[in-house]
Amino acid sequence: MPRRLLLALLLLVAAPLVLLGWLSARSVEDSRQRATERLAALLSTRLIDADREVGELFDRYADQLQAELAETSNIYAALKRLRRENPIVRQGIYVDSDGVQIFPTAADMNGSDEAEVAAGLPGLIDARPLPSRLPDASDARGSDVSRRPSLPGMIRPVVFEVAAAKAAGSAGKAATKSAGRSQTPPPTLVAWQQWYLGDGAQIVFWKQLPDRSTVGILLDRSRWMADIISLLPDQPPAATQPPSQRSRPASANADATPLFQVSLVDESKRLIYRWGSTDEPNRPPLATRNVTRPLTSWQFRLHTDGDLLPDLNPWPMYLSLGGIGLVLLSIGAYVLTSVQRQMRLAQSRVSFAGQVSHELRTPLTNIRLFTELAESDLANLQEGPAKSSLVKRLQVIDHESKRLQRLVTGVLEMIRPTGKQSGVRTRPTDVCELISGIIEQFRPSFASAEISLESRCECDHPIAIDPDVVEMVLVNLLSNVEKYVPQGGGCWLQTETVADQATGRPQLRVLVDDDGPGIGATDRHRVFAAFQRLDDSISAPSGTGIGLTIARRAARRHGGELALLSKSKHGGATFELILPIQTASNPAPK
Amino acid sequence: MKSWNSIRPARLLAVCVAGFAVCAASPPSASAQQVSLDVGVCNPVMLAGEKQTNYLRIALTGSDLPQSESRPPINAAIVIDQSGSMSGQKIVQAREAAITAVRRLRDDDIVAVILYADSAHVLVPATRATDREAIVEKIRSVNAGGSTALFAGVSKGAAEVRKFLDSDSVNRVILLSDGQANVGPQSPRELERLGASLVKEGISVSTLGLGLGYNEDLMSRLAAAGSGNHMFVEQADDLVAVFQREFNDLMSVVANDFEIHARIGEGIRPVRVLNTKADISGQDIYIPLAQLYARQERYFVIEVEVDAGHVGDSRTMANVSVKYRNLISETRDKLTSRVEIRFTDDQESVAKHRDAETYAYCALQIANEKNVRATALRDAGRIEEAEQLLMKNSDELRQIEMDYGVQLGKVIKDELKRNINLNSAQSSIIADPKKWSAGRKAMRYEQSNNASQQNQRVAPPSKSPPSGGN
Repeated sequence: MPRRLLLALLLLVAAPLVLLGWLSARSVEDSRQRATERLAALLSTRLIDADREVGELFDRYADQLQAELAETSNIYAALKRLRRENPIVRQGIYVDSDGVQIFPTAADMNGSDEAEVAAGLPGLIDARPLPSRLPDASDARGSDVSRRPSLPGMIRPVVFEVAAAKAAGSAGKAATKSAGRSQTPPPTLVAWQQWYLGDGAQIVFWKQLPDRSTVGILLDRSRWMADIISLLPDQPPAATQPPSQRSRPASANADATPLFQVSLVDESKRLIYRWGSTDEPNRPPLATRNVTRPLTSWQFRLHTDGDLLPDLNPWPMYLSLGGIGLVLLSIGAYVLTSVQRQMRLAQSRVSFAGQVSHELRTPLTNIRLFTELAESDLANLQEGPAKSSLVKRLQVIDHESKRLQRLVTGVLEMIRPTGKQSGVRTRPTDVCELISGIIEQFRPSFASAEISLESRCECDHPIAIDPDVVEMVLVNLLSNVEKYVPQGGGCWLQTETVADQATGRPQLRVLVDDDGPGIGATDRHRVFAAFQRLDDSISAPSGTGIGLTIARRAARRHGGELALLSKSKHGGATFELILPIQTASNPAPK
Repeated sequence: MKSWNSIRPARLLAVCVAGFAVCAASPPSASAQQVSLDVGVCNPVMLAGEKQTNYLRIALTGSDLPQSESRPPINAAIVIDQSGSMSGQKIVQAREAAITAVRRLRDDDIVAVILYADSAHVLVPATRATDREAIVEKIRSVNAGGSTALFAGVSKGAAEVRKFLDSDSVNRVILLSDGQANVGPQSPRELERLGASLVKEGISVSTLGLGLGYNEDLMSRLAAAGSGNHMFVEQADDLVAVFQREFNDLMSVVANDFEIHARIGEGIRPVRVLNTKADISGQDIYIPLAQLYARQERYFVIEVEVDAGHVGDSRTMANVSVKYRNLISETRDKLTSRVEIRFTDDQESVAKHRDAETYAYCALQIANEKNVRATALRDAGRIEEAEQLLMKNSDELRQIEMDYGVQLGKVIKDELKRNINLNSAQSSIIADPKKWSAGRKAMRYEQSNNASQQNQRVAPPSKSPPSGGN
């Protein structure tokens, strides 16, 4: 019993803890998520700013190159000059209206770097965003690509967008690839191309000339990287200062250590530049933003320090959960100990009752003994009114002392440890005689209650059973009949020896049947439980509620059973007592 | 201001050397200091009837600085590595060097200080040097820690120089690094391309490699492409002196914004410019050069392939024109020159007409190329081959010294001697793994020194009127 209690207590403690833990973990995670989102939204403006700088830089390049190309009449000379003099230009390209590469020629590409560019040019030109004549160009592209061995610079397909230079205005903006196909393109049709060559992503500026030939300018990757970096914010110095330097004038070091870091990564996620906090980011970026055209394969990433995010330290949660657990545990322990104390108290009461009952047995036995002695002495006396009066009074004493003895026996039966078949003293007994003796005891009270009692006994030879058990059971059953069967009712006893259906062993079967109110189906399971009274009202007959419990326990102690049958011949309650009969081959259980 | 103008006439005519060079410099203002142009051919007379290789040398010599205080203003960005590896004596010396340099500046000079570690930070935005002490105070606060975002440092430095970009000033990014670039773009080629791009705008890049941890390939190639000096500073204690030298160079710039154009004649194919990245397109060669220091002799050797010619024929080898900004006279000047070759069937005539000086210079550059190859061989683990190549280099140069020694000027003679010793000294240490780390850096330094003649100066002119040329 205490173990079960302990388990229940643990469950009582653990269940709310688990629930609380789960709930608080969820709420912490939720609030962190929300805070992260808010922070990301707040800080991503920096990414947008940085991104705009990059976009504007390429717009400036486009304007500058447009202007350079517009000024010239000799495109070859202009492209040569641009490569030589313009810092952003790495190589100029001229493709005629048939999609043939006119410039640069082999003579223009001298040196290993140039050779690499020259090798990559055919692929780049094939994929240019402003094809000269579409049907031809696409044909040529299809066949060209299959013919040419794949070059290392051509690992990825072209990514391009049509850019609208400011000069181009809305016409340029509207110029998409399909528009270029269907109508004569405006003279300012320009586009960016992103292409992979050599060190990585390269940016090519394309401009279509009125004769549908196209001019491309391969921008110098190192240069635009440097220009992007020089536009992006500085590294505040505080972060790189060792602690010894903190003491110097604040003016030189006004910026607080930033709590976030923004990095720019290239197409292969290689770090190009970063600013802000110097800690190596150890968590995934809070926010990312792809660079707008034309450098779409690059990305800005925003990392934050842990400080900006809600504290993820789980200890406070663990501690509070532990506290709640501790409180629950102590409450549980208090309940458990007080229950145990109550149980011990009850136990000691029971054992006190048992001891008292034991103590009562001896005087009771003596009272009965001396009552019988007095009766036998009285028999020798002369008949007379005094004698008959004495006899009556002695009979009352005898009857009441027997009743008292039954009660004591019942109490002792009750406190006897269950499940032990001990204290059974079998002896050869004439059951019919035993039963009629019991009936005789009840006869006066039944008579006064006007209940008829019929007994049929089909057991003519003595059998080995414990008569005390039989008596205890029957007395209990009959006193119930006496209490509950209304006036004018009847009670029928039937005693017989039958063979056990399963084992074939002989057993004694006593049926006690009445025509009283019976026991409802819902109450059947309760009648044998201790201290259960079906009607506990004041008007109900007196009783302790342990009679049937005692009877069943006694029967079971004997290896038998007392059961309430579901059907009664006379419409009342029918109890069946079955006791195994001791034979030589069927020794009494010890 | 113009007080120096009267000191002496241009030396230009004097340096129009013999052979078949035709000097046609734009008429210099009689009093102006001038850069001199000297174009020579290794073999002005070639054997007829076969395709041959020949070499062309375009030499520029800076005029002397005027005696007055006046010099072109400097517009420099000092880009200092403050990564963790710089901590200790290195950063202390770097601070000291930068401070000393800033203190030397004139009020109209512009300086910026950029730091780079995990990222790049403009410590002192481009500003006039009038408030030296404030700048010095800021430099004093520099400490080391973090990684090396070298590319970002150069980018920001260049952006600061660009703020006051002026063709009349000396625009320079001075990069100091002691470590490997490890944040951002970091390949020598990416830095080289950046340097080349900056030169197009007239910004040159000098690189100072400190200690034994820096990437000498990256630093030397950046300086070469950036038309600046590359220096190997093994000991931090030398840093102040090296900075001084760098600023001496900056303060002695006499001309900048060069456009060196060689148009190679018909029947001759330009192959390459030795040890220099040039823009070659068809018959046109454009050689980038950001500036010329006072009395610096700067030359370029062009390898050409000459188609077979007939005996007695002559052919225009190249028309060379050099446009530049003369910072002394603050004018834009132009020099031109034309060289021819002649064909003969007489082997002796070829040898007799050989231009010894040009020949020696060309040999020097060829030897320098082989020296670069020796480094590559050593990198590939072919130590023995590298050693032999260096010894052969040394021997060949010695042979030239023996054959032509008497005909050579002092500058080239000294250079020959220096390179003979250099190659043999390198061959002796190239196999030693302990010395290789420093040795390789020294080698790269010498290679860029030879390629860009950063230390090559002609003798200061005597007080007497110039005698002329070689």
